[in-house]
Amino acid sequence: MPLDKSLQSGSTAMLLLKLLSEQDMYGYQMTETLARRSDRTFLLKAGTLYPLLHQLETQGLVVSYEQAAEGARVRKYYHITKDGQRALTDKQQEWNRFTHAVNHVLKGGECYAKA
Amino acid sequence: MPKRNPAAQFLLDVCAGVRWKKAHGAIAQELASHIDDQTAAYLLEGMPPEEAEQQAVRQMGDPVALGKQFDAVYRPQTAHGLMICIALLLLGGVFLQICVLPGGLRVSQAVVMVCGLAITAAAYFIDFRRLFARWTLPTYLLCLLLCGWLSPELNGASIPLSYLLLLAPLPLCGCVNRCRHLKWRGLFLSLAAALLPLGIALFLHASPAALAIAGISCFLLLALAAGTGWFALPRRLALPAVLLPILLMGVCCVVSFSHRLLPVLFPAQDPRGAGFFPLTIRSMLSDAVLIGPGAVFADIPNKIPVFHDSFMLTWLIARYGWIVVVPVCALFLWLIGRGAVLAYRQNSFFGKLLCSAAISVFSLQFLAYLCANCGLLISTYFPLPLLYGGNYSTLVNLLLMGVLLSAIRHGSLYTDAHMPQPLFDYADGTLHVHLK
Repeated sequence: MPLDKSLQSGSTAMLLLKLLSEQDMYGYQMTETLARRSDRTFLLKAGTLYPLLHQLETQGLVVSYEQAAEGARVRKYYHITKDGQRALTDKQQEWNRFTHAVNHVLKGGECYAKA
Repeated sequence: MPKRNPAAQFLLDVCAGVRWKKAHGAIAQELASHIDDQTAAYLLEGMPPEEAEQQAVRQMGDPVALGKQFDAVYRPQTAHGLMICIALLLLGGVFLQICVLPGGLRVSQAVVMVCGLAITAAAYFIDFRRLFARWTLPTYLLCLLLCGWLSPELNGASIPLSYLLLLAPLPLCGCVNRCRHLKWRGLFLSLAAALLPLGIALFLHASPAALAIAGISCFLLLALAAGTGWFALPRRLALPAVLLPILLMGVCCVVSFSHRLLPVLFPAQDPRGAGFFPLTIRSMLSDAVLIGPGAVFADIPNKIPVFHDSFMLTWLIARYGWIVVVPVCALFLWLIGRGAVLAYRQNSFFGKLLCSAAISVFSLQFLAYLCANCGLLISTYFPLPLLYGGNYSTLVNLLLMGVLLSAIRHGSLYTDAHMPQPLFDYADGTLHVHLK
């Protein structure tokens, strides 16, 4: 069953920052790594990835640099900044609070504000 | 008409949706690299080359939608705050000259201001990388030579040459940018690019203030480059290699102009009488009050005949009180601080260098003016930039602002090859200094 996109959209930035916190990566590498780690649940298209990366760069959460690849190609790598690390920590805490609350509700329990 | 391959057509379709044309190159390069990587992955799976490319392009998604998303994020950065600050300084200067200071606004000043704004606009819209190509430094040196030989001298210094020298850090930025990873050759080329204009200007009688401002700014840029490992040299070697020649140059200038330093340090003992200005300024400021005219205000035109050029701030303090310092300093400090922050945030090192060059020259002029108007210098060769400048000052400073705004506007398009390593790094409560 495909994943509801609204569930994914809010967490994509956090996932990208997490990947970059482990090592510098280029765009295609990020999409492949994300797809493999999530058992192909998160299949990020270029149309989502690159505008988001540019936005993170504008916000100062990542910086980019170029490095020669095989042949005459040049790849653009992304590197997480200290601000990006802090933003990642905040987002992870937010996510943990969110999932904890959702799981708590899904467990079921007492009803409040009875008529 | 030859048929474009799917990847090239896809890139054209994406870029058609992006209004900022200068971003097309960067977008196309990044997406082309992604398509190449995806195609290579399909080829490894055994797909035929044509099918692999077509599938890779299909994986990218709808080019029109992608173009719209890129259009939303790739926008030129307009530093509105800086533009407003620059406008306020210029308008403030016009107001002061028309309504406050005697003499009024001359027609030539108004014409120069309009020309200066045209130069700012031209520099702003032109990509800063095109402004500083290989030909920039030789052209600049030629202009310095011609200016030095042809322009007349006033009080032993050439005015146009002195103002032209303030622009020396800008072509230096282009030279340093091209010297990346060239090790000692790059460092010495950059040093030569810094010392040549200073040497020419010293020989052709530029003012000591211009030499000091240009020299300090060039030193800061070279130190920045050496400190971030730009030349691929160990920092413990590169930084002293940059520091020593500049220090030697500084010592030569101090020895040449030692007769100008004595009146500053010991104004009452200066036999030539140049210490009169610092002493008079200090006594006037000591009589100034918070709001309103000071006790010796009426005496200013008699004691300091050049007050409306070099000592306008002192005149304003003596006439209206220390309160006038607040808006003047607030505007300048905000502009300098904001410019420094935007310089730090630049993606590329070349952008950082250019912003630093513009801001350092601007702020050193401001600092020199403040020092003169506090009686800490004999006089300042340069008026208060933008707020109350002569024709040359207005043109030069508006060009500097244009370069600064251009670097900010186009900075998001460029990145560096390889991550520059910071000299200082603070982590886990410890300050690390990377000298390698």
